[in-house]
Amino acid sequence: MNGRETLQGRRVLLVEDEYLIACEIVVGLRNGGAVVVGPVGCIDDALDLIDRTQGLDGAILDVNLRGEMAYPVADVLIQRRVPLVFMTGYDEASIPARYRTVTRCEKPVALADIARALFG
Amino acid sequence: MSSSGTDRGMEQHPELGRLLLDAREAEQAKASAQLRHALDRIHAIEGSLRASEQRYETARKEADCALRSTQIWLAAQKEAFQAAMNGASLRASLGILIDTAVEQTNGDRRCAFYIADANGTALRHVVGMPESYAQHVDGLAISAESLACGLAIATGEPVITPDVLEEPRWRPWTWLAREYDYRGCWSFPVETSTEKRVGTLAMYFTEPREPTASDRDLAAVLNQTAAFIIAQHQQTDERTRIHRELVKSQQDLAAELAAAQRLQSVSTELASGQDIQSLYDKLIGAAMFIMRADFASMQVISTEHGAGRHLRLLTFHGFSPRAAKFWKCVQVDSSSTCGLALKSGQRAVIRDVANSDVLAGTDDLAMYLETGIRAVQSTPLVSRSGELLGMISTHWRNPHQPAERDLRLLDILARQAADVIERTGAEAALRESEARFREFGEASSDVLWVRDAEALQWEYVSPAFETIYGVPRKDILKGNNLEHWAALIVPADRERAVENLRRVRGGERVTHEFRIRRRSDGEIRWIRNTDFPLLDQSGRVQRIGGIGQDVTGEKATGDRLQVMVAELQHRTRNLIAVVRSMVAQTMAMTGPTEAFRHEFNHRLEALARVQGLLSRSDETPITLERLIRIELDALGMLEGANGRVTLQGPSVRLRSSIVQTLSLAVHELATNARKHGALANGDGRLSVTWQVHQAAEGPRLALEWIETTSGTRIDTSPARRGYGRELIEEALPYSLGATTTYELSAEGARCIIDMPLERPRRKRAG
Repeated sequence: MNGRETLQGRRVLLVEDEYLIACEIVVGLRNGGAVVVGPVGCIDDALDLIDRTQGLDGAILDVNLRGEMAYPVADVLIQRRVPLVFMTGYDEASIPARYRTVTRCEKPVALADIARALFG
Repeated sequence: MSSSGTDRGMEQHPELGRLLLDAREAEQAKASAQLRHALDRIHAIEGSLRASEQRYETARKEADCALRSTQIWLAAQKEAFQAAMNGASLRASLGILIDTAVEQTNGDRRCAFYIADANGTALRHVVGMPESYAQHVDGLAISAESLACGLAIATGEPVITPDVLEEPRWRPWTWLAREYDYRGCWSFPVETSTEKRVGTLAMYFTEPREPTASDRDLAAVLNQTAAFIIAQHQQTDERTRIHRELVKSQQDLAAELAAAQRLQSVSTELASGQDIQSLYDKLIGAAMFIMRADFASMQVISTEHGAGRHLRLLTFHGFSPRAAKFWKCVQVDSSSTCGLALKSGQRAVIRDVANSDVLAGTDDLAMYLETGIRAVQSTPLVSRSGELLGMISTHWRNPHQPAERDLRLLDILARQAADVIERTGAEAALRESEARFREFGEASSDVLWVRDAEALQWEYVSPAFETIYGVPRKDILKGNNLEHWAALIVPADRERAVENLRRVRGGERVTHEFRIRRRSDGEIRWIRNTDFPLLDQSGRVQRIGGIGQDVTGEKATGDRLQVMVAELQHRTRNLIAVVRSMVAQTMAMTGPTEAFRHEFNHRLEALARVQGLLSRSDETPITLERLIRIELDALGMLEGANGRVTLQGPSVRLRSSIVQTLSLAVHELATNARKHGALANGDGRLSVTWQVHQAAEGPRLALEWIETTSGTRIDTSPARRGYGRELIEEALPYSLGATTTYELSAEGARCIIDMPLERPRRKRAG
């Protein structure tokens, strides 16, 4: 897949509160040659990690983190011009208008789609 | 004739003739002597006669004179009496006597009358002496230590001072005697028939003089008449005084009656519902009438405008615009009478503002004088419960001390004024609150309404009625509006809706839903009414208030949501079923790995159970014990366990976001216990205990899962270290912020989970 090539060597932040899903994506990313930053399951941890990490190439964000919306993380990423995708079960209408440009991947996600959205 | 006979005898006898002659001579001499004697006597008689005549003449003259004098006196007395009877002044009446006396004594003296004052302590000149003289002697003390008239009236005896220069008592007064040129001064007391000494008669002489008997007689006559006149005069005075008092008291009575009538008419007017301002005006009008005042004002206690407790001017009469502005708001520290009355709670009266210590130098005084006010009173208006409500004041142009009687009437008026203020204050508050209610009503998209509890007729219906029921308000309010309203309700709901109104009338608060057919478009609408009783002061249901909401949309949304939740749950479970069958089919194709199928299916079922729990969590909160019981029960670990399983801990409600992960962890623990652990054989025990403890960031749950066996070997093989362990040691800390320990020993599994119950607070702002 193209995903494999595009992911190669990329530093990708994963924000996902569901352990099992996080594990699955981590495995997929690593198999694609990416360096996984995280995963982390809450906004505070995500923001800490962004602060501490140089050269993020992309980020995958679960929109709903145990009832909290991950928009503050998205805002920081957008500000730093880090490409990102939302993973969500929500439909488009429930995402605030200012994130309309952010690619939305519905769960369960296909890693290839994510890779394309981030680096394609 | 006898002589001619004798003469003839002598011619015949010379001797004899001589003898005869001699004899004749002798006889002649004798006769002559006798004649002389007789003549003398005649002369004497003549003289005596003459004297008698003279005496008679004198006597006659004297009698005439006396008669004339008596006539003069009688005339004078009559004149004086008549004058007195005709109501002439004392001065005029007694003046007649004085004039007559002076005239009758040929002006050899001056006479004067003095009368005693009502207390009998001092004398006052009435008539006789010049005004300038009177000024010096008026007020002369009546006492035994006094002199002249003062002494005479005190002792009841005449005081005769023949020469004032000789009398020591006169020493301080001799200058006066010199100035008015008299030496002799006699004073005679005037006594009435009842021996009351009412005054004195004084006589003054330019030369020293003692009185003669006739002087004393004259004084007696004068005084007798004067006593009569003075007594008469005093009676007249008394009658006049009594008459005047009678008239005054009649006038007072008339005034009181008029004031009482005014009060009564004010009461009647107050009872009729006029506008407040005209009631206030009537009150101060009556106050002015009762107090016979020139100005009046009425104030109310207020705490508006954050100005503390002060008096606000309600109405006034006679104030200039400047004065009205000046006293518009009177603070408790004001020097005005209303300020004083506000401070003391008592009536304040200032009879002359220009001579008041309290007002001296104040702005209030300046304003009183500028307004033309010299006297003022302020009477507090006190409610029946004793609360000070306001002030009613009246003002006069001239210094004035209000009469007690007037103040008593004013108090009655004040009582009524207090009632008016209390009532209008309450009315104003009510009106304000009604106005506010109406504003809410007009703005509300719900129907706000008020019915009277008696006939259940609408007194108010807000405009939203027209939108919701589709009927103009003016139409619905015509006639029996309860029936109009009921007719809009669909027949099936009608009776219950009306019955609910009756329940509210009984004091209940009722929320009920019913359907109406909207008149404008015939659509059926759901109305949710919240009806509540409005009580009067005695707690009686006087009105019924209601809020009617069109809940058609809400009901539709609610119905839709319910359908959606059911659908969602259905889909979720279907999805899991599909996943399951896909897994089974996949396994069928890739080869039967029974162990995989078995474990995966169990996990999937656990997941399905959690979905079920979560979808019902609105109605049935998920507690920790319930979560554990459902898992253990699903694995058949509770039935027939015979007390081998014990669950103990407080009721802990779980957030839905942690339910799924925790549920899966419990599922893994339970599965392991049944397959490999304490419950795999007959003699093991499982104890699950938990408690909640407080940590810095919030409450935490501490759960202990302890399996114990005796004798049975526990399987501690790596097979037990797989998915369950990862879930507990990795997923719980990752997803739930838990700290966990998971130990396997020969005695059994021992798992401790310690996790926050609440979502951790964000440390940083987004």
